[in-house]
Amino acid sequence: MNLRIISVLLMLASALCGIETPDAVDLTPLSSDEGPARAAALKAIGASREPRLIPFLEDYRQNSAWLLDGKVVLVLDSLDDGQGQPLDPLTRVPLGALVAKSQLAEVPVRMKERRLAGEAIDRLRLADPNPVNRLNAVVRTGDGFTETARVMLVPIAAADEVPAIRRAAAEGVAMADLAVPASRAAAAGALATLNSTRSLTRLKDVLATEQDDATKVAVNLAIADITSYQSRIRVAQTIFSGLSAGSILIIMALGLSITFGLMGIINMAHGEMLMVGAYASLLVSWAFHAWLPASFMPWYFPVGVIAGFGAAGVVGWLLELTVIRHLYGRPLETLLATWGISYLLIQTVRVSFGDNQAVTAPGWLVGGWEPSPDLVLPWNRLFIIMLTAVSIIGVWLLLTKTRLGLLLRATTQSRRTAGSLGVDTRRIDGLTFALGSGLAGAAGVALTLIGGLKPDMGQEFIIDSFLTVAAGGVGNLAGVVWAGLGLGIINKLLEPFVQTVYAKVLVLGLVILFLQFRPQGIFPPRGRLADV
Amino acid sequence: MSDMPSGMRYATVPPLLRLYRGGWRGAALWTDQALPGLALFALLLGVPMALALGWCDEAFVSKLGRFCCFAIMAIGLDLVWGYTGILSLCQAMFFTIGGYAVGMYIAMQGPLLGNGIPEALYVVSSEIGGMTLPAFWQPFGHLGFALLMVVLLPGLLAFIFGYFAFRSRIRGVYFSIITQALTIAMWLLFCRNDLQLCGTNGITPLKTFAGFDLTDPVVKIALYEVSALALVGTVLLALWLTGTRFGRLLLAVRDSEMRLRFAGYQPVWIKTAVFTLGAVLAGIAGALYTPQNGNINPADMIAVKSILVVVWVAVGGRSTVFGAVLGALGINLLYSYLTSVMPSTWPFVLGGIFVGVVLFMPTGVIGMWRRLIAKAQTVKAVP
Repeated sequence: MNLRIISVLLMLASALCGIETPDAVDLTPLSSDEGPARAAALKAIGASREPRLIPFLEDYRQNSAWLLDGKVVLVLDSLDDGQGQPLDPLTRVPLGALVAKSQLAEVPVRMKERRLAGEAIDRLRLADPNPVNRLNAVVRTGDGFTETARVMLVPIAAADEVPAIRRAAAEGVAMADLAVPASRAAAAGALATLNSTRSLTRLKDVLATEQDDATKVAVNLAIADITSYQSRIRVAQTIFSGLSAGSILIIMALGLSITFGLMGIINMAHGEMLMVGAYASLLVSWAFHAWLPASFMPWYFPVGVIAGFGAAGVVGWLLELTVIRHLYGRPLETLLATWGISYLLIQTVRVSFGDNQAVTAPGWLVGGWEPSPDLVLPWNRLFIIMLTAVSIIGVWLLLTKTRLGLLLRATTQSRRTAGSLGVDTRRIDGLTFALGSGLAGAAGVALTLIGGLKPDMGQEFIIDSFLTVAAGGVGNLAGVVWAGLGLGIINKLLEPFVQTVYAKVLVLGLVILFLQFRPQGIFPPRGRLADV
Repeated sequence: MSDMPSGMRYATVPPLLRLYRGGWRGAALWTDQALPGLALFALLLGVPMALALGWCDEAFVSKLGRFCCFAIMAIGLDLVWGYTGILSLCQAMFFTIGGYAVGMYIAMQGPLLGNGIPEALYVVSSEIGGMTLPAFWQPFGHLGFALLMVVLLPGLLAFIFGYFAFRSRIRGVYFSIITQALTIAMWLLFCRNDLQLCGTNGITPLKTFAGFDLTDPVVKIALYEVSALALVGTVLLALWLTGTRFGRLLLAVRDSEMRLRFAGYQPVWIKTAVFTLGAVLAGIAGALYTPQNGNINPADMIAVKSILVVVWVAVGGRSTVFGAVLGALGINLLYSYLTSVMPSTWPFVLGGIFVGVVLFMPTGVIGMWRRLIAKAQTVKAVP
């Protein structure tokens, strides 16, 4: 609170004094002959909350501040040739022409001033208006464990407007308190309540040298608390990354489930629909870059999702029209033909785009949401999960609530009956196929958020999504969702214990084993459909 | 799947027994029955003669030897897919396992480094210093054991996997996808260094086999002859097998498994048997391939390789033994020609062949040819 009042007062003072610089601090006393005046000036600077003063102070400590016509300026030139360019101390704008060395008066910097300037820099950083910089400064100061650090952090822990910064400052204060035997036990308790993973090493160091038994118990308790918090966080992270890994799988498998399950078509080129979607979003980002102002750039991504869906949908529709239409009822042939098409698509993209490409994720998807300290859920993965949820709901609504869905289900159940009732089954097939492919395209766009673009990027998903559909039960949307989530999470749960490759092999084994016992998937169909 | 009655009719007729009798009908029979037999003779005797006469070089013969191994693997798949209707996408995996069994034997013949560690294993190992030979490598030093493993490893794996899959009635595309998953899992495993199977490098270099220097041209020609002989043997075996009662059961599984079951048969055993046989043939092919190729590595069993086998059979004509051979040899020769002339076009040609064959020639080259013959014969018979 004090800091703020001082800065407000200083602002008022400077306004009254009519200083023309936009800042609130008078630098002139730095050149004073009297030590106390210089110290007071440095203290005032430290309290000013003006981050631009940090580089000035750093230069000041290097003896680059000079007095020119009664004002403090920066001269960064070496002055060896007798002249230098004076700069405004804050904005670093050149002030007039070169001046001779003789015109410059020395601003004295002694040991004490250096130390005070260092402290002022720390204080300025701690008071940085930008919360991110401020948090970094608080963390850095807290890691010093010193009494001075403690003094600076106490007001921040009490009064900063950002909770995360208050917490970091409180951690710093408690870690500094650990140095004093009398307050050690209380500080350890405070750290435990803060779930401070950052202080774990410090607590262990303290424990190693601690003599007092009661304090030892307190520190041990704190360590146990924090460790258990850490493992809870780890479980949450694992489940979350499993969820997001499973999400892409679910969108892919939803598309497959529509084409494979509802239409009985084995589309080995489904993975390439994902690739088509990803490259479509790449083209969109290029187009935005080339033709639209930079301020539109963050919005290329939603457009990319739509473009990816559309492009893959069109490719899928063409594929159905030219190849698959002629192969209905011959699943093994469809498998081979679509595999050939996937091969052609991969080669075409490789020839036209080269081997590796990447899109930059839009700014609003960088970073993450921190619902609890140290548990960071990246925005891009949250977005993928959200996209999956939207896809699932959309597909469900489409299948159950719209006329197209009704016709689609009718065609699936009995092509001939539906046809004789006037349903244009050919058209329905095309639309269904386009929809399934479009979903894969959307998954491809989502995938660009967490990885690069390769012509064969769809290949690594195709088997997994087939297994998801097979495990979930063909044509069964709920089953697909559960199977996708299950496979994603099991994979991530296994990874800490065995290496990634073995986790994958184990999951493949598990699916094969699962199909031994439930060949029809998680929710097997009943009645006449049971043996098709 | 009942659109290929001709396969059954012709497959049961031994080749070479019918001679040219003149006219359209004779020509047709000639191409269908005698030509394949002649082609096999040409493979066995004609190629070494051509080499002796200087019409082709030794590299070509060696290449053809490797393609003969592919053809053996293709016949295995033809029995499983063409005749029985089980689209297996792990044929190259069995091939590679067979290849590894022989490769390990050859590697044990030297060069050896460290405490008698084969070079291939030594260079990828992280514990060079105190490393000893892994226990499971020891028996592969004996030729008999290695050859037994060539048959036993793919056979057992196929038997166990096939039995459990067929028992739970995993059919059609489900089976295809599961076999592809199996190949991918196995490929991932073989790529690991800590499995002591030489990692992604595979087993290389391969120098001596049972005392023969594998770089010696005479040994290469001999290996070619062995491969060609094995191919002829496999063709005869397949022709005989498809003519037996068991062969008819295979077709019955393909055409209506449900009816076969209701007639009192147990398709699970028929399918397991043919799947195992296909795997063993692939294993033998891999074992013949490895010494000729000079190395065997996990890349030989990536998913694409198994699908390629399917393409060979599909192009040649499935449910015909000669179709598999024709497809395997033909496409590989085309591949080696195209990749040397204009490498970038190959993927497009392959993809095009894929789609084209499935769409326009579902019975493959031989099926097309037989349809033409049948047409010619009907025209002849009507007046």
